[in-house]
Order: sequence, then structure tokens, then C-alpha cells
Amino acid sequence: MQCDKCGFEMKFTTDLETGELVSCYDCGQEYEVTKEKPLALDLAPMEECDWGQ
Amino acid sequence: MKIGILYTIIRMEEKLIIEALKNKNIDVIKIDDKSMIIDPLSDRFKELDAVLIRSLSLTHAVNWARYFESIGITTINSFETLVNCGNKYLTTMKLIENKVPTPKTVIAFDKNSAVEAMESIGFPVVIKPIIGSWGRMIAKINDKDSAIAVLEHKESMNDPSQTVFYIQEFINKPGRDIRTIVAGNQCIGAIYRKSDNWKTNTHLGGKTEYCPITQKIKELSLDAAAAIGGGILSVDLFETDQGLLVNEINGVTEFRKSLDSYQVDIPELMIKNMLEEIKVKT
Repeated sequence: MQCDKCGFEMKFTTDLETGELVSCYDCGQEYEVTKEKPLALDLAPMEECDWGQ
Repeated sequence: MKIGILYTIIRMEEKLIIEALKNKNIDVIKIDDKSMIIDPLSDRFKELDAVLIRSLSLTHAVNWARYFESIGITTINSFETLVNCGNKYLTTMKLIENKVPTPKTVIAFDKNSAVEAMESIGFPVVIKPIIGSWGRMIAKINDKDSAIAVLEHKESMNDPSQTVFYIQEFINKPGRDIRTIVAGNQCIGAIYRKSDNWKTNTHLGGKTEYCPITQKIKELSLDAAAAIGGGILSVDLFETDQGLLVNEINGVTEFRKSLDSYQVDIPELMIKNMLEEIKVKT
């Protein structure tokens, strides 16, 4: 799966779950797992001003 | 038992919590706070025994918590706790009402009264948005000129929440503050957050170290948690010559950048206390 931002070929070895946050190893672009099998990713939501603890 | 996890994004914290729940043979139902809708008349979540609120978004967290409570499902944290933690002014009011020591704070609604308040407190002061986290938009203001500049910037943002000026005395910390985690009636862990920057947030590069839980740290953390409504909370403490002060309380505890520093199994202890609280409430 290619990173939308930098084109790096991303490979994920562990079992991912829907909703999980993953990053491109090369450029750090964050993705949200939208489907586990087959794996589907979407760009992670951008930080909002009400985010955080 | 079935526990819902309300999330915006599944981060390391949520993965560890889900793992801890599954290790206890608890069914975990993940609820995406972004894509799912709240239908107040729907009973689709009726099988849940409780929901752990792990949303990144405060707005989503409080709206979902209010819904779950309306259909009789215990949320951790409660709507009340989330609201009180999410708004720094409400946090301050709860601390003061419950006689929990906290830095001197005033609220102003226009530039001139804000400058007067700052001069009354004495520079430097700290100005914070009433809603916000991770050290965002928090400024240390050293003098009147800087104050006017910052306040004018905030007024120009055309965001009413940015012109509620939450102004606090600046506490000259010893290069660190203390973060504790409270779960129910237990203070389960504490760390120092150290930084050369006056802001010690780990999101801004603050480093963490183990902090022993003294009797005073424990008592103040539990008092602060109780004042805000209880639950699973992070409590930030300042060390001063006059003793400890409670700075902020966080309603969705984060720990991934400091997991080792606590020297205890935070997710496990959180879950243990959460299950005890659910048993009491149900």
C-alpha cells in the first residue's frame, strides 16, 4: 500500500484493527484503519482545537 | 460483560485498554465517535454494561456521554466529570468550591479588564483558552506590552471562546510538574514531567520520570478528582514553597508517552478500578 503523501510502499506486519492510527514509516503521515481485511486506510482526521485530554 | 469503548482514533492507550479488557474475558464493542450517529430513541447499545469514554474530541465525548447516561448506561468518565474537566473555568470553580488549592485565576471578557486583571495578579501571568489541551495556545505573558499584543491577537480571531480570557498567576516551577492518575478512589501512579520549557507537556517534548506517591500527593489528587466528579482522571500538580497546587485535571487520561515512567501497569489498574466502579453503580 502506497503512502498518499510520499509514495513510500507501506507494509504493516501486525494485525491492525478498525479505528487504529498508523503512520507512514518514511514521512510520518498518519492514517486511520477503516477496514481490516482487506486492509483499507484513510487519511487520519486532522487535530481539532477541542482534541486532547 | 460488555464494555463499549468510545474512540476518535485507536491509539496505543486504547489498544492497551482493549487488550486489558479482553484478558479479563470482557467483550469490547468499539464505537467510532465520528462516523456513528446519536439517536436518542435508539436502543442499539442496550446490551452494554458501561462505556469507557476515550474520545480525543471533547465535543464528541460530552455529547456521547450525555446520550449513554440518558439510556441508563454508565459512562467512565461521567458527563459531569467530562464537562468539568473540559472547561478550565469550570475546573477552577469546582476546585475552589471544594477548597482544593489551585493557582490564583481570574476570568476577563475584554482586553482592558484583562490587562487590569493581569496587573493586579502581577506579571508574569499565564493565559489559556478555557477549552484546549496539549499546551495549545497557552502563553506566558511577561509584561503589559506583550499582554496587549496577545489579547489583540485573540480578539481578532472572531472566536467567542478565545475572548474568554482565563488568566492565571505564573507558578515558577522547579523545572517540572507532577502528573498523577486517579482511578476511582485510588491514586494509581505518578510521574514528574520535566522540561527546560516552562510548559512541561509531553506533546511539547517534556520528559517523564517516576514520582513516588507521597501522602500529600495522594490526598490532593483524590480531593481534586472528587471535586470534579470522580472517575479515571489525570491530575496535574505544581510544587510551590506553599505546598502543592492543582493546575489542571484531564478527563481522558493519556499515558503512552510515559507508560514506563509510572512503573506500574496503568491500563490494568485503570480497568480494575473501572470494573469496581461499574459494579457499584449497577
